[in-house]
Amino acid sequence: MKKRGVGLACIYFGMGNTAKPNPSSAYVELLEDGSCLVRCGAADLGQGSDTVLVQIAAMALGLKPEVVFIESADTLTTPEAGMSSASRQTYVSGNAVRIAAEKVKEIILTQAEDDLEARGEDLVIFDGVVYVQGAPDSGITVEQICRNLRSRGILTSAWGSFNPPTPEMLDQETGAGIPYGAYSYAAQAVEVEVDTETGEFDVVRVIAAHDVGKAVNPMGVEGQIEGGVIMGLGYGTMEELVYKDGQLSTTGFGTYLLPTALDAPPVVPIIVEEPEPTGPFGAKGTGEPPACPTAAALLNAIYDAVGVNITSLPVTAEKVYDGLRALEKDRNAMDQNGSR
Amino acid sequence: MLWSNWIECPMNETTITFSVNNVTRTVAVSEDALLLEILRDDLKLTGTKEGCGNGECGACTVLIDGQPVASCIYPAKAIHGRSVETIEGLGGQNRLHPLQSWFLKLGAIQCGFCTPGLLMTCKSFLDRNPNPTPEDVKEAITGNLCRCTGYTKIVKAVLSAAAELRGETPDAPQDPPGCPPVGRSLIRVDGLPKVLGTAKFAADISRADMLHAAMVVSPYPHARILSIDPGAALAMSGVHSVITGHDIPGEILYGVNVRDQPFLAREVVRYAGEPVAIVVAETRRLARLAVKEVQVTYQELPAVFDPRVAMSPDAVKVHDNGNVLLYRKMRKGNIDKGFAEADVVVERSFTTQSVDHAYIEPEAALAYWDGDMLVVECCSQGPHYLRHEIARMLKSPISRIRVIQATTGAGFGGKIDLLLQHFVALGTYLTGRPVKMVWSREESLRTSTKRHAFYLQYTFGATGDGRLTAAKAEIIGNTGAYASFGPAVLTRSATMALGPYDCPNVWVDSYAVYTNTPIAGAMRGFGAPQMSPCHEPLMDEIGRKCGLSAVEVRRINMVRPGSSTVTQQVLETGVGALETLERVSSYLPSREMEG
Repeated sequence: MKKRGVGLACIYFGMGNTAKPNPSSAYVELLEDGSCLVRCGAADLGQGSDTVLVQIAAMALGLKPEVVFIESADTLTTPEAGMSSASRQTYVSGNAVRIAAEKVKEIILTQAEDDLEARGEDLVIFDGVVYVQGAPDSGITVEQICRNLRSRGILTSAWGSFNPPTPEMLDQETGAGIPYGAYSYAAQAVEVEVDTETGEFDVVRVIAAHDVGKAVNPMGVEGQIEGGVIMGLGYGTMEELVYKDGQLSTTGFGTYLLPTALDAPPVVPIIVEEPEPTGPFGAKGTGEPPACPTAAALLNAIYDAVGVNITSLPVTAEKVYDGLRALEKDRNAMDQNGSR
Repeated sequence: MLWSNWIECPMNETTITFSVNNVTRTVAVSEDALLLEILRDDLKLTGTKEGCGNGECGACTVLIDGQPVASCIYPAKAIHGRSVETIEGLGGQNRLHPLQSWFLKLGAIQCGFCTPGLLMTCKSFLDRNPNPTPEDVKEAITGNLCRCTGYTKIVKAVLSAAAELRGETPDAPQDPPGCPPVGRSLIRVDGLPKVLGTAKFAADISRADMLHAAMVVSPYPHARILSIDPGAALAMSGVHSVITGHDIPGEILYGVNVRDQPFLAREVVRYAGEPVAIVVAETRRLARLAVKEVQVTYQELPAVFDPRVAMSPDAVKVHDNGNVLLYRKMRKGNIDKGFAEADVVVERSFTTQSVDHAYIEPEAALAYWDGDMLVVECCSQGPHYLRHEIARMLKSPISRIRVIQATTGAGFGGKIDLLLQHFVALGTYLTGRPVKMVWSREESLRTSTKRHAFYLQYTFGATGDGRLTAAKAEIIGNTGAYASFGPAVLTRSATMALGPYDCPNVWVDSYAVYTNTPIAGAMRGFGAPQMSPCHEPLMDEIGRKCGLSAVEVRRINMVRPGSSTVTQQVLETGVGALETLERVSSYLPSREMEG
């Protein structure tokens, strides 16, 4: 017989290194053709930090993202940004880029005050044009302002840096302190179908809601959620480095199994945006959280379906089968005691 | 590549003629040459990737007469007279194949390492099946592993490409009108070279006069190195040098949290797979062949594998100063009072396994001199840290080391540490020539860092209406042979031990313990994925005992603005925990989650 179950799991996740300074820095340079070069040491390994940092610079400067370019992760040409770890690059390097870009914006607006004969607080920059609020047709391009500035010997570039607000180290005796400047939150539900004869199970669907503060790139956030969930399911259902006396026996993908497309159930990513005041435009990191609750939700789903409490990862059909037979034995023993 | 592919000696060469992307090519190939080697090394078509060397991951997929094959195990001589299609022939910058444009538009690419192989598999599939279902697509790509995307967006992209090829106009995602730059689903800025196969991963980069390096690793989990005799290896024609830890000019230890790891083991090895010597030779094959000829004499030492055993005072010592690398305490409120107030007490013992990051790109790095600057191009999650360590090893000013992150085929925490970048740096420093090293899948699995295996013991107490009063957790993490990020991981575990719940009385003991197993370091989640399998089933159990649904018991305990965490940090703003719970529960059938 097949039985269905649903399991929930919730986690929270601190942004950046635990109770340690982990600063980042960036250069932002607005060029005389109105394009912008961001230089930042943040390494993009596929998670999308280059794209996110371009979007943040474009947002802060009021440019189209298409005219913003990035050079990243080269120690000679880009300033240090710490490691791409701890879900920190959107939050930490994003802030460094935002701060640098806002400094450049200040230079632009100061010149625009003269050019447009307006007060700085009345000016807006959008899609590369500076104009007085409410009068978008009478604007002047950022490109023109850059040229005006250069003719006066002023360059439009700036450096920005950010260190997460982690003022308190952890107390040695109590652990008390402020280890993270911000937290991401997540709830996931896993739906399973368990074969009560064999212990085999299928994950039918995963619902994953993640509070990311502000999704800088919603498609990228979905990609992090979908990929993290499947990595979490791999952890929960099949992956294991097997050692005997310190010797690895799973030495290739034939024995160290990874989820394939056929192992990947539908994932419903839900983006929750509770703005984080210390994040760039409210954003928090979302690289790691998706991989954190999935295995736990699976454990709860298996219990919900068939009442088997699994006590080690990965959850295998064998473990579920053993659990089912143990439950059966308990039931039989209870029946016998009852009939006696 | 598998060892077996490398230890065979090159035999007589034959000349073969075949078509690659509609261009006729003639090359001389050795008897045992593989198609992937010919494409990448001889024809410089580096868009086709090597992920496993064993035909298991699909990254090397090319089409032969329209059929997808794993070029990493396909004999080169068998393509004589046939037609090969690679990613370089699929489309160009201004004439993208619909698969390429939909992979971009729908975000089906992250690191991009599996992308060329996937695109070729899908091209062949759509040629055969122009009107597939999502299940058909999944079946077609099941031989192509992707570690980043979870496949969802790949399947959507293939379906959209199929529709376009049929002459339909599939919907592309639209940003809300007037959306500012933050909030847009911008196509990734590094996407185009990744679909074209022109993105340069470290293994794809070559320099004139380049040498190749390979590692000699310890077969023993714990042993003393008595001697290393390079004689037989050096006697081989084309072997340039054999480098040991004694050749290092500067500092001999490194580590991101604690400097306890030798750049290259000199006296003792502490896990099976630990590098002990580097062979530098004219070709990759030769370097790997010569590895077998380096004679290392070991004296085996007793070893310890279980961190619980390693914690006892009389256990084998992995390092002289004891096996407990970190002991982190969390004490909040009064735990005894908390349990005294509890109507319900639930317990859980749990163990988690060691897993690998299993990024599809194996580790790779290349070093060379640029004037007085030593340059390392490599896979990396943080080039500035690597620069610092390499400078220490070479006794060089930090500013004379340049580390450039090549396009990196994902990391998930596994490409943070110094892995092989120092080996090529040392090779170039000692030989003066460019040196490249690319790990095999087996080397990656044996030598790279892992996710910590945990032993967990939990007890939660709650009032009859389901409110947490006490939470106690003991966490023992197997941190392996060297510290890497172990102390940071076990500290984060302690801070995340309860999950997102407010509990007034907390007691956590967290240990990172050395053993003679591979190094456990950073991996996506960093000590959190091991905790949720304890705190979440316990929350369910409290709910069952108190007559509350899984949603209700969490709703009661979940952190809100004003809540205090394990570390007594008061959360003020940006607390979306409840919202994530409510949004997920809205998808679930109420009978199941609401009791």
